[in-house]
Amino acid sequence: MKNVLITRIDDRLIHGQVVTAWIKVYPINKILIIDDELSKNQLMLRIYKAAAPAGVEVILMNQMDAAEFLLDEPLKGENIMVLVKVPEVIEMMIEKGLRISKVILGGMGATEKRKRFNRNVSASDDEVASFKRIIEKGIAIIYQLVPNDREVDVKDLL
Amino acid sequence: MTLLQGILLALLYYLGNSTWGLGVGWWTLMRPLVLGFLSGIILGDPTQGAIVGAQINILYLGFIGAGGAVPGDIALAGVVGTAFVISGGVDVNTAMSLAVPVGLLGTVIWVTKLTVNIGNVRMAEKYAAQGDTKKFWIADVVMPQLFLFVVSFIACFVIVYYGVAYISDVLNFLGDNVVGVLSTIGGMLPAVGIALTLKSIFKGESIPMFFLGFMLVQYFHLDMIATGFLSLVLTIIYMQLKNKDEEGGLFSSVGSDMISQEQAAYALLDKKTIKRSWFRWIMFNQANYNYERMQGTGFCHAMLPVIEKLYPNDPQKRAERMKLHMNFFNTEPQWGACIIGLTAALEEKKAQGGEEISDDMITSIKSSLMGPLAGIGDTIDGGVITPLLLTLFIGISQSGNIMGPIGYIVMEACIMWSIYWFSYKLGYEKGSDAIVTLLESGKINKLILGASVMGCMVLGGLVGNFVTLSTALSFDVGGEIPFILQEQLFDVILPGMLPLLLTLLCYWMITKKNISSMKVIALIFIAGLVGGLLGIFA
Repeated sequence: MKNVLITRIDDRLIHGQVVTAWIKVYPINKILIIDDELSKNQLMLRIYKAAAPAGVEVILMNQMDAAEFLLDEPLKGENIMVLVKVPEVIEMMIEKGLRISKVILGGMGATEKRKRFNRNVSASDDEVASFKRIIEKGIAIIYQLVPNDREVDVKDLL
Repeated sequence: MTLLQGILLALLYYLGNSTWGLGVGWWTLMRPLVLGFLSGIILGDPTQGAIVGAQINILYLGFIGAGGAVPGDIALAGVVGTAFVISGGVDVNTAMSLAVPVGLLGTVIWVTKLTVNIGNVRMAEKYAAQGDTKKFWIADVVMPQLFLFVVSFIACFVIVYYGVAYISDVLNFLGDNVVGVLSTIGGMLPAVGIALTLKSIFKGESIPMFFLGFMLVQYFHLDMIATGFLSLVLTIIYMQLKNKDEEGGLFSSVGSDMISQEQAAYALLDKKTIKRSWFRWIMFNQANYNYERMQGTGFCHAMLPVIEKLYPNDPQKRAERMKLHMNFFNTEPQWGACIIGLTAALEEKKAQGGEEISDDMITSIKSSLMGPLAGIGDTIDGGVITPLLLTLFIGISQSGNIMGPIGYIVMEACIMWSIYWFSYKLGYEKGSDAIVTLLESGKINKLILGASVMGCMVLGGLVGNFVTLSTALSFDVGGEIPFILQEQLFDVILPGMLPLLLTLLCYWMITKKNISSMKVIALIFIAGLVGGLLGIFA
């Protein structure tokens, strides 16, 4: 299995908190964005590549390819940050065999289907159910915008 | 302190956090360097104010606040710290120590604001449903700013007016030992601010420049102005050697052939409308910042001139467009301005009958660009340009020169306004391909590299000038005179050895050991307390 340092749910994917905080603190050199819709969009890949700082590779995959990639042999010195928009994708990766102990919850923007969950996180009923299922598997979900912030266990917010 | 001074300081603090800074308040009016100077004017000693503000600002050099995550209320720390010095008779380093808990206290106001403002989204939704572009500002500006005014005015007034009256009594009661320790800690704290800023730029080719800057100040006693100019020249030489074949400015790579399909510039919209939309964006993008939509209502506010122009007699259509643009939105306001421009172009094209432009498409363009542009903007504006300018002008302010804060305001504001304007125009006139091409061109990375190199050098100089720590240890070596560690070792080899080591230690803890900056600050308080009371630190 690949060496995944951070797994993060954040529907803005690569943005200020990721670029100025997370990858400064963790030795990340590869960002894997898993999103079926975006993976078809070459323009978006160009945007995300441009947004990542020099020395950090960005790859954009759909869920099937990502699962295969993550279960592959680790490369020496390869430190991956996984970014997804919604918890269901993490669930899928875990089902496919990805072993992680912690998921970081960043932000999920308000939409019509979503209710406010915590600070800048809004979630639909389905998404909350997905949080629960992930936690039931013994994986901690931690709400944390940047590494400097206090860790808030999502279990306590449900 | 008179009652009037207390009131004016509280007003100043509100202003620092308010939306009335013409789009650059966040970068100027909120910074302790500026607030120290302005508080100094109110308290009758602008020179001293500039000195205190400069010192306190070092702790918050690399302040970014990405995505609404702020490490402390730097405006409150600036105003209160300055008041402690000028009206409370506290020395600058001690005020620095006291400013830390005050800044932490202030984050409560930030979190409260972002939570309470959600209520205004409901009100804005009501106006949007009616297509009422005239009253929208009540929800987006009046309500949130009224609330912020009341909360910040009261908080700041209580702390400065009553706090300052008692601070000297409290410090007297604690005794010289404790005050001495607080002062030692205050001298050490800038190391944390510098280390936090280095986090973004201290790597690869910039590393030697940091030590060069440090040595210029230590051995050659250059002041920060000289260090600044020298580092500018060296950086230019360095960049020229590095890329001989590159030409053109940052935005020049985007030629007229780059115009994308969604471009419709100035068909239905005129220059005046575009300027109004731009101005509303820079003025109000974070007027109603809140956890639910972040800059959502601010985005809608900026689109109002466009919507009014395109649908003057169709309230239903206006309601539909307003509702769409109230969605969750969050980006770095300067670099992200291109998204507002691009959206204006998309709306124009759609009003012309562009069937292919669906609401889904608009939303997906907005939401996919906002993250990457926030990443780039936070890195450049908050991570490189601002710390660099702050460092230079803090150096000038150190000697009590009020050109420090004034020069900073002018330069910083001009840079930020330019980015706002070029970014908006790029989005409106050239479209999404042009934005992506600019991002890909590599020029941004060069800008970051150049500013990092120069930033490292002036930061090195800052360590020499602002971090103070010396040891009082001496050893009996058998002779008549004991061996005094500071005088006979450090002062001979490198006088600023301890400040340099302290800064590098903080950097190591923050980046390599992943210790949060608050914990590092707490460790410094503990180290200063133990070292000061045991007589290890002088």
